[in-house]
Amino acid sequence: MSKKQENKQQLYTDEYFEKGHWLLKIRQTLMSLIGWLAVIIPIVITITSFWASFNPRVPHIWSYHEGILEIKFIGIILLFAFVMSGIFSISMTIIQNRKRQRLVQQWPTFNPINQKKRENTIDTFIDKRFGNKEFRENVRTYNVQPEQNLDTDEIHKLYDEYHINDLD
Amino acid sequence: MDLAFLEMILLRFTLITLIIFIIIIVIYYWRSRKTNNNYLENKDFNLRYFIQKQVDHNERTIGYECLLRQQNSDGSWTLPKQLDSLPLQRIVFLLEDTFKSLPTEKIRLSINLEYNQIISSDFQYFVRWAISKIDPMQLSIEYTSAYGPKYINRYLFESRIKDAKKYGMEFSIDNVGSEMKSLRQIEWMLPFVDTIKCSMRNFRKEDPNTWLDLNLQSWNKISKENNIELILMGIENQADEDLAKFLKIKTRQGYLFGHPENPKKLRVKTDVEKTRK
Repeated sequence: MSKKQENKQQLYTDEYFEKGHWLLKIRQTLMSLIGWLAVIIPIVITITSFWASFNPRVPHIWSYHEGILEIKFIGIILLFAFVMSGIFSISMTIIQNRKRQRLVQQWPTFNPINQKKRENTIDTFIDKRFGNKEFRENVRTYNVQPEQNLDTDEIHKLYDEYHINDLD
Repeated sequence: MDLAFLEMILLRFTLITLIIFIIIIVIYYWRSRKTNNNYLENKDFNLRYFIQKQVDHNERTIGYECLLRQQNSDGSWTLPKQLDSLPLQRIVFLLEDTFKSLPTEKIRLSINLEYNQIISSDFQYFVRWAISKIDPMQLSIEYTSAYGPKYINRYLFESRIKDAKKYGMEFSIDNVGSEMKSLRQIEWMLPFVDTIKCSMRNFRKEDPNTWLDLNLQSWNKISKENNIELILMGIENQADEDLAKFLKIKTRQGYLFGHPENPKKLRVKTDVEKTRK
């Protein structure tokens, strides 16, 4: 076994694919087969019955007039829903593309004034806590004191203090 | 209800929806269209902002006015045609180019815009971007009512200016004249105007008997009444400056203090001076 394979972690367990557990395997296989049959059989019955309403030679189980009407009805409703959602999504895509071309790619859609203020605020904050930029970029070793660590949400609170948090 | 009837209703409903959505798309395209006149959008035109100083009574620089110039084939710079066709975006890049090294003081920077540019939906995006680019300078948008179109959508204009003022922009009226018409054109804007600019040129009398509906003193009074700052432009000699002093007009602009200058040349000049030192 290579080292790489050894390092692989088993993140789940599944008794079905392990050795043994024969009862479990039989029961689950049976259940899944029944499940699939419960899907396929009604579909086949419905399709053949509907098909038979046009061509009586097709083998079918039922041929009630109300049933055929119901299938037609649901077909129309589904087609209607499909076309309506198509109209909506295509139109919105066209508008969205135009908006991207004419607005989003042309102008900053965030507020650049507050962005600048945030930049300045965080610069002063860092300068105050860790020394100015020139010092920070040229110092060889620097020990961060425990009280210099950033608290949870400290920057967030800093922005709130100056009312420049555009995210909330 | 039989199936054919339902089919017909749904079909009609779909068609109506389709038509409504097509109309919405057409309206959206129409509203986001570029103005059909896009003369200055041409990237081949070499455009630049020239800057002219504004000074206070101690001749300290308190602002700059940006004047758009286009380079001709012979290398000279002149005022371009169709100023309103300049896309607002290009102005931001021109400004960036003009102020490579930004003054660190909080001085005023004035830009002239036309009616079409102010009412365009991009105006608010332009204002906040420009403000953030020229920080710490103060952005002032100047509008010359004399060049405006005949029909003005006052409601839209006012709302655009007021929205932009929330970002910290100043609004200024440029080059008011000596005729009554000049006042009538801008009277409705006075509540949201920050500065009015008068040019000496419009108020000089060749013949002492010429009648001026409005002289400088009347503009001075109008601006004081409405809490508006008055700027006197076109100051060319000492007599003009004395007049500004007499009328207590604090902000002054004109050839006496400096011609519009090419910022690039200006930069080279200051660099040369710096190296000499």
